[in-house]
Amino acid sequence: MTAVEIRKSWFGLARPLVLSLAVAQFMSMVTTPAAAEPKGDVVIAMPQLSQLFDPTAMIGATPHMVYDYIFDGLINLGPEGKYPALAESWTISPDGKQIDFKLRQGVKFQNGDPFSAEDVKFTFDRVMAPDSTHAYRRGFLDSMERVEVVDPFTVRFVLKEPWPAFFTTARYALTPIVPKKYFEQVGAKGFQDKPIGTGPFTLVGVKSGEWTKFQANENYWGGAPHIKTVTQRGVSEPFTRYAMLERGEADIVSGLTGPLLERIRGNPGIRVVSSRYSGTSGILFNKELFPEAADRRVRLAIAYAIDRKEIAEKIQGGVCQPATSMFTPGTFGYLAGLPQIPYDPAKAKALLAEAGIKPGHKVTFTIQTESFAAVPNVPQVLEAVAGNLEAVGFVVERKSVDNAAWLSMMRGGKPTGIFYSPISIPDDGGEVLNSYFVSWSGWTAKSINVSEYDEAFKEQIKEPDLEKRKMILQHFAKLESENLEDIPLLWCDTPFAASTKRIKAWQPSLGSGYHMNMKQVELAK
Amino acid sequence: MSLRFVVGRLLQALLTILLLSVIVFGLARLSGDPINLMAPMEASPEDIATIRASFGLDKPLPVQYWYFIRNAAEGDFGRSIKWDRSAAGMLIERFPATIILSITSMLFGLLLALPVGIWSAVKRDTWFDNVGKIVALAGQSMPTFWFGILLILFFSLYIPLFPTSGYGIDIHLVLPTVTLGAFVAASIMRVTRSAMLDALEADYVRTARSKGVPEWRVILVHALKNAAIPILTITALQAATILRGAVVTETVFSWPGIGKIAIDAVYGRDFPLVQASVMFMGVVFLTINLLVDMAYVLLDPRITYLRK
Repeated sequence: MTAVEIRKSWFGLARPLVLSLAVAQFMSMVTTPAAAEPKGDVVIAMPQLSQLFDPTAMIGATPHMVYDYIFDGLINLGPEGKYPALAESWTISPDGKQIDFKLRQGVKFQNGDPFSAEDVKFTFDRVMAPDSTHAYRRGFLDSMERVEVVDPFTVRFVLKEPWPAFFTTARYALTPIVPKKYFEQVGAKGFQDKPIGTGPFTLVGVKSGEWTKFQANENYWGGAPHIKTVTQRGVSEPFTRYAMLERGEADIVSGLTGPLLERIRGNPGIRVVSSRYSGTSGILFNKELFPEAADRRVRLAIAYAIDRKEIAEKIQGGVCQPATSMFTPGTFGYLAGLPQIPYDPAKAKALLAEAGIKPGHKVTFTIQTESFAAVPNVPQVLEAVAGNLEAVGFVVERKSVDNAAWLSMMRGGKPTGIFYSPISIPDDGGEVLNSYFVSWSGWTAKSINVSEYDEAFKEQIKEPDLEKRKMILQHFAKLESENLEDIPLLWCDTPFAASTKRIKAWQPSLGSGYHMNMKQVELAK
Repeated sequence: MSLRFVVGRLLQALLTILLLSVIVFGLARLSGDPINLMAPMEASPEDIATIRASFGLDKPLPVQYWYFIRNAAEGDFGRSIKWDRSAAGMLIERFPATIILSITSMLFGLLLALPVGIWSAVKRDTWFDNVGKIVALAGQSMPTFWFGILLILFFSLYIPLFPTSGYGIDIHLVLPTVTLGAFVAASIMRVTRSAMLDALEADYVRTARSKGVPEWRVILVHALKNAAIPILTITALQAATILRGAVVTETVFSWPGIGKIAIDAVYGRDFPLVQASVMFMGVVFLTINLLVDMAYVLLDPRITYLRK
C-alpha cells in the first residue's frame, strides 16, 4: 500500500461522518498561511487550568489543552478528525511492523531551530525511557521496539507487532514533538519554565493556578493564527464564568453545566460551539456485589428502566444524545444502526420479576459529585439514573464520591454493585474494548469475562488492514449490543460558549474537549 | 503579662501546629491520591506506579510524614504536583491578595457592624433594632457563595457597575469585600448589640448618667469601652474565620488568594499544596489568637493570666 492510499483509507474510515470534500477543504485551510497579521486578545474562562508543559512527561490527559497551542504531533486533531501534521505521509511495511514517516520540511521551532527526524526520535525515546513518567509509556512499550532516523526527514518506527491503533488513537498519534537540541540544553525543569515547540502559539506568561497566556507564532508552518494572544483563565465557579462572558470579560467559556447552558441558549449574544463526540458513557455492574447482573434479563431490564432521552434533553440540554453503543459515531469501528433500547419501565419490571428480583431489592450505586472527562452534569445524570432504578423497584443505596475518591475506588477495583463509567476521547474502538470489555480490564470490576471479546481485542490490535480491523470491531459491537455487558448511556459533545459579537465562526476539534483548535478562531469585525 | 505566659502560649501553639500537621497529612491521604486523579483512565497500573514513585508517594506513610515535617521545618513544603512549583512559593505569592481582601472586608464589616450594633442596643426593641436583627440573621444564614453570586448578578450583570471577577486594588475589590464583609459583619453586629445592652444597664453607666455626662459620651466611652472585650473577642475570631470565608469568596470571584488555591488543591489531592496551605492558615489562625489573648491583658488589667 502506498502512503497516499493509506492516508486516504485511514481518513475515510476514521471519520465516517465527514465527506472527503470537507477534508480537502480543511487540508487546504491548515496549509494556507493566513493573509492578515494576527490581532486581538481572546480570553477563555475555564474551570481548570493545566500548566504542565513537558509533553514527554505527560501524567494526565488535561495538559492537551496547552499542548495544542505550543506543539504539533506527527498527526494533529482538527474539527474533521486527525490530519497529518509534522508527518506529511507514511508507508507501512507489508508485515505491518515498520512505519516510515516522511516529515514536513522547512518547519522551524519557535526558537528558530529547524525541525528534523532527530527531534521525533528524541521525543519518543523520552516517552519510552526507563525513568519516563509518561502516562502511556506502557502502551508505547508494548508495541514499539525503537525509533530510527533514516535521513533528516524520514523517521522509522520499528514495531514489535503491527500497530494500526497508533493512527486512530489520539493518545499515541498526537504525541507532541519537542526540540532535541533545546531540550538537552535546558533540561526538563528549564523546559517546563519555557517550553518550545513548532505549534501555532508560543507560551508567553504563566501565573500558577490563575492564567496562562499564549501568543501567535507568526511563522507557523500551517499559517499564522488569526488572533494575536490567547489567555486561559481558571475560574472554578460556573456562574462567574457565565457572567464573565455576558459582561465581555471573557470571549469563550468552557465547562458549561445544564442550567447555565439553558441561560446561554436563551442569550442571543452567546453562541454554543461543540467538540463533537468527545465522550461516551455506560452503566456497568460489579457482579461480586450484584450477582444477579450475570443474568442478561436483569441487565436488559435496567437498560429499559433508564430514560436516556429525558436525561439527554432535560439534564444535558441537548449536549448529549442517547447512545446505542459504547462506540460513538466518531469512534473507529462504530457500527451504525444498532437498536436503541427504549424507555419502558413496565417491561423492566416484568423482566426483573421473570429473573426473580422482587421489588425492594437492594443495590449500591455510585454518585459522582463532580463531572469527569467530557460528560457534563454527571451528578445530576446519576441522580436521575438512581431515580429510574428506584422507579422499577430497586432500593438504591447511593455512595457519593468526588473524582479523586472515585478514581481510587475504580483503580482499586472496588466499585459499587451498579456503577457509571465515562470514556473521554473515544476515538478508537480497540481502546474502548480494552478499557471496558476485555476480561483483564481494570475498569469493569473484573465482572466481564467474554472470550469472544478478548479474542476480538487480540485480533484487531495486530490487524494491519484497516478495513478488516474495522470489521472485527463492528462484529464486537454487534455482539455486545445483544449481550449488553455494559449498558450504553449517552454520547456527549463538549460545549463551549462563545461571544457572538467577538468570535467569528469556529469549530473545535472532533472527539475531544481538550483540543479547542484555537488557531482557527477569528475575531468578528 | 509575664514571660512565662508568653512562652507557655508559644509552646501550646507549637504543639497545636504539630497536631495539625498530623491531621492534615492523614486526612489528605484518606481518600484518593493525586496521581489516580491526574493520570488518564487508560494509563496502565505500572505507569501509574512509576509516576507515583517519582513524587515519593510510594514510600510508607510514616516515612512520607517524616520527610514532610523535616522539610517543613526548613520552610520547604515540597512542589505542588499539579502546578509543578514550590508550594510555599505559591502561597507567599498569593498571600498579599488574601491579606488585602481580608483587611478591606474586616473594615467593611466593622464599619457596618459597630454603628448598627451600638445603635440597636441604644434603640432596643424599636424598628431600627428589629431591622438590624433581621439583617444580622440574614447575614449569618446566607451562604457566602450564594450571596457572592447574587452580587455578581445584580451589580455586574443587571447594573453593570463592577467587574464580575479578577484581581485589582480598585473596583475589583468591591464585590468580594461586600461578600466577605457581610460574612463577618453579622456576628460582630449581634455580639456588639448584646455586649452594649449589658454595659448600658451596668451601675457605672447609671452613675455616669446621674453625674450628667452627655449621652453620646456615656454610650461611646463609658459603655463601649466596657463592652469592648466581647466585641474584640468576636472580631478576632472573625479575623481568623475570615480565612474560611475567603476560601469561598475567592473561588466565586476568582480572586487569586490562598483560599482559592487551597480549595483547588483539596479537590486535586495536591498533597504538598494542601499541606502547605492548611499549615499556613493554621499558623495565621494561631497567631491571631495569641495576639488577642495578649490584647485582653492590655485592654483589661483585671485579666493577668497569672496564677498564684
